[in-house]
Amino acid sequence: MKTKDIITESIRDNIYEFVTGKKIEDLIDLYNYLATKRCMESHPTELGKKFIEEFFGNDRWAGYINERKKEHTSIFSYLDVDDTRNSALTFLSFEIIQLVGKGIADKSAKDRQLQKLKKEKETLKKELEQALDDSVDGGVFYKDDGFINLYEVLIRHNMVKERED
Amino acid sequence: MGKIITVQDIVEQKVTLAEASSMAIMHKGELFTYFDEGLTRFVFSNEDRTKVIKLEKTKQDNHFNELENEIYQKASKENRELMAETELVDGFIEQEFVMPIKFGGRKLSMEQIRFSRSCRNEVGWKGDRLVCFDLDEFKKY
Repeated sequence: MKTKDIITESIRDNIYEFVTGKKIEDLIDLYNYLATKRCMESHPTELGKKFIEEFFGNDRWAGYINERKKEHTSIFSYLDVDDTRNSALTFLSFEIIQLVGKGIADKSAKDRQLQKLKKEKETLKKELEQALDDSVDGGVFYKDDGFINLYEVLIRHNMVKERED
Repeated sequence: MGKIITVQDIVEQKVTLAEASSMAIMHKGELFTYFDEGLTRFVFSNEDRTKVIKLEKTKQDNHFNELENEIYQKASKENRELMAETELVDGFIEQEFVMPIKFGGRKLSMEQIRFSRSCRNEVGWKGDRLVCFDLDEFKKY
């Protein structure tokens, strides 16, 4: 394997470890900070500080930013920082997309579960109403029949267990 | 294994270095075989991978070997910890073997990547830590 590939893969793994457990909004903010002029105009957040320290080293990052602020700039001396930054942004965006995708998938699964529960509740309500209607004869509600009818609905919906005694 | 020669054979130009790369070099009772090469030097390692010798590709001068030795000799104790142990023996470099990251295949932490890049990736594994083996590149970037 080429040295460059080893380093690129290592950066990817390190990014994955870094983003694990972090809030997606914080990661998006970090991405925007590193990818835009914000990194030259304002201080990083706590998460940004940690990222800079781990991925670039504070001294190299400060030198890189100072160099980039100059009117006639050459980042030749900071190609390593620039290269790490580009790779980090690529992998950071990839992980953010993964997290957003997972969030959407989780939400869809949750929505489907809610729909299913809603439908089950409606069916239960209808069946209970029907059971009550079936227990009325000539305007008289027969408690024994009513109990049996409701009991059967509850068993069907696994809300009570059928007694064997 | 090909023909066995000595460093002296190379010094005396009985064989060229290009030819030597397919041969085994006998040095201090150990056989060294071709391991890798850079722009200026061939690297031969011993069988148990504890040592390498570096021979300049051209015999016009011995600049890179002498330079490497000088860098190691002048390095602070702290910096030497980050370098492969190096010695100049009869005009060629004898150095402890470290596995270059390109062959090691192991993943690097960001701190290790930063060190590696500062040495133009001329670093290798010495146990669990990285050291620079091409001292001309040590923390140059």
